[in-house]
Amino acid sequence: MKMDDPYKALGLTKSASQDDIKKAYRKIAKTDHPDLNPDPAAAERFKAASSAYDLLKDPDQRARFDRGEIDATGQERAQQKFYRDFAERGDNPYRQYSSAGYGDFSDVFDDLFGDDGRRGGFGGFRRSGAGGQGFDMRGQDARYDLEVDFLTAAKGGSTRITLPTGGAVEVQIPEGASDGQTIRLRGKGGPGHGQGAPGDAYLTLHVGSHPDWTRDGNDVTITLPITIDEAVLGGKVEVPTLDGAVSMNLPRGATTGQKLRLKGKGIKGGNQYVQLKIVMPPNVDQDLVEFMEKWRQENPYDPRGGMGV
Amino acid sequence: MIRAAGWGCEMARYTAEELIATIDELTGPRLTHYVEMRVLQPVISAEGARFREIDRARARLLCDLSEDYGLDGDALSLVMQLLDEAHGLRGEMQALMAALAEEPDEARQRVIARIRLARAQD
Repeated sequence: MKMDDPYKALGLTKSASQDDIKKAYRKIAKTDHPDLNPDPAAAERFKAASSAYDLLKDPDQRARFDRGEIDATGQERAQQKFYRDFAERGDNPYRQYSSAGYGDFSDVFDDLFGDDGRRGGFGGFRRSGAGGQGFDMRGQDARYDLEVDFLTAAKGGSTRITLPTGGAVEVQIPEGASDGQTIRLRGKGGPGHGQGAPGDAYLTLHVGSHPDWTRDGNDVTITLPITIDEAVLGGKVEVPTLDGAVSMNLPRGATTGQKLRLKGKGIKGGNQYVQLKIVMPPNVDQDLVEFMEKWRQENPYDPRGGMGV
Repeated sequence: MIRAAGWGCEMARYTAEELIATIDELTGPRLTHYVEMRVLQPVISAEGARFREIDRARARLLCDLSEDYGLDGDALSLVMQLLDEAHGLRGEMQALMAALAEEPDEARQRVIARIRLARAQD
């Protein structure tokens, strides 16, 4: 929205005090907040008021604007994303945590939209506080997202994390852990009421990416840089695998993109593929230039043949 | 701020300090409070808590609700749960309407008739 007069956006005039400005902004934020008021006009008013407030809240900046040194639009911050912009999406993680409200027609919704967002009946925040005296109730289960680096997920291992509620725990990541897999930590959820046992914590794994490795199920692929002489002559090269480096035979005339297989070197007996990438030497010296010029005379070839160039 | 893959696209990640720096009303104790209340749930990693863009937007909303409405505790949890429900339903409703709009006229008319009937019986 184009904003010519930030004072007008806040319903004020130039004589307003800093306090007036803050109050006016808070008032608009209260009535027109896009997360609370679905009316598009309200969202526009809120946006205008936000940018106006951003400009005017700092007295120095306000003075510069009043003197005409900066214009109102020049100071608008990058478009703010509201919670609603994320929350309306199907993958909003906060709906997993809260199992928010599909009570009576959840089956239909699961049919239509998949149950990704609403797995299980875990209550994150339970609406009815069943906290009467003398009640023994099991504590609530808690859901968290856990980020795991690529190699830990592939090889398995343990990672030490701190739960948002405090306690540090050692989590065992199973070998070949996959994205979206859930790990249960017994008794690490909310405390029980009365004699009730504590709830469990469920960690949903999110496997990170790796610059050199990719993975497809239990097969892994590594991109292996090789020199031009290795590519031409072939021979043995050292290749990292999930459990240490191994020696691999490079065929003569290997080329970028070519995939070689290391059988059984993937996860749990899967394969590891080695995708080759020819890398030029850091500097091309005169010897190489002369050799190539001579070589080119007698051995022309056209890798772009058939591309219509 | 680092960028990590996940949730289908490259996304920003903020540490607690970085998050506090981007939101005027957010302070360290307030952030800790929201996380302990579990109205804000960062991603856990071996390097500590990491906040996504959605967490940043949510933190800003939480600050607005705390500042403007004086909400805290169970009331704040309840409002957030209702908002998640409303936003979620709105998103799903939009998807449903978009899907209906793609359907041929007669299919749409049939659905409209059924909806009217169902609402009339309420």
